[in-house]
Amino acid sequence: MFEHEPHTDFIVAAYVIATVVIVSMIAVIVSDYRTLRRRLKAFGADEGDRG
Amino acid sequence: MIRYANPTAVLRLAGLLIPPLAGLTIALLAIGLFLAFRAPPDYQQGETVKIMYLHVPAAWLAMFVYMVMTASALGTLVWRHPVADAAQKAAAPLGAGFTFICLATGSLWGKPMWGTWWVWDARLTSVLVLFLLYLGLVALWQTFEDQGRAARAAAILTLVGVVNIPIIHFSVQWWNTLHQPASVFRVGGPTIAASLLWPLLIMALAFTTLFLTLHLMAIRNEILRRRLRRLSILAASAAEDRATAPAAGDDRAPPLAPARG
Repeated sequence: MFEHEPHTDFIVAAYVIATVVIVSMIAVIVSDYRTLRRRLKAFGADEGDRG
Repeated sequence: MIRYANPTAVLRLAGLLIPPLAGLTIALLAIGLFLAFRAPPDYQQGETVKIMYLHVPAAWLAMFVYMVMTASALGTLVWRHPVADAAQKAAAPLGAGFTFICLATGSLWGKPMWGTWWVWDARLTSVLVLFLLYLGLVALWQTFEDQGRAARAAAILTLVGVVNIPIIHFSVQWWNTLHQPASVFRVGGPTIAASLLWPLLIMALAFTTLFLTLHLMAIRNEILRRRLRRLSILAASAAEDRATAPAAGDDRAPPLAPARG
């Protein structure tokens, strides 16, 4: 696709950085959710999404 | 809106909306990336224009997230909506993430096109100020023990900082800058070719649904965190009561502290 493209490194770096940031945001939120659910369960108060 | 003053109703809504929104985001990202990589190269920039499909949606989201936070700040200060401050707190790290993508991809696009990673012109500097504002708001939430006070302080800072949004938007018209002027949302219609515009619009929609999904998930976390904090305080208070109250039927004096020395 980028055979004659002299700036391939810049394009790849942009997509890698965006992917890393987005995946990190998802991972932090999902991990936080799991921790909170586990700790609420310890209180016997985890009713999931029903609140 | 009043209905969603109840955190339980928000949790129920989040549980309902997150799966379809996540599915829509994955589908839009797949279609957007497919079309972006099939789009023709720009006649001046060549394939480097592929960075646009990340940079422009991230820039739009950087400003959109701040407007969501501004609406939440008004909800906190004016209507004292109980979920508004959770929405504001949940949005700040996401706004910082999208602004970072915008700055980093812009820099990676600027080096081959402008010959420099960075210039202190109005557009780039005002976006950097927006990034610092997001970081400041994230830090502010961590500074206060009392979350009510943190919410009010963050809401005031958000409302003060909103002046930066029109500065970002109009900076390319008000001042001389290396950055190009608006080419999509402008009077007279887009100046960008349809073959490049459609993938861009789909990627922008994908970033928007990604933000909505992550924002709902983060609001849900915030509500659960508050519930956990309340339960922890109640448990600690109950344990303290048990420790200080004499046992039923026990009329003996409390034990003396052990002698020292």
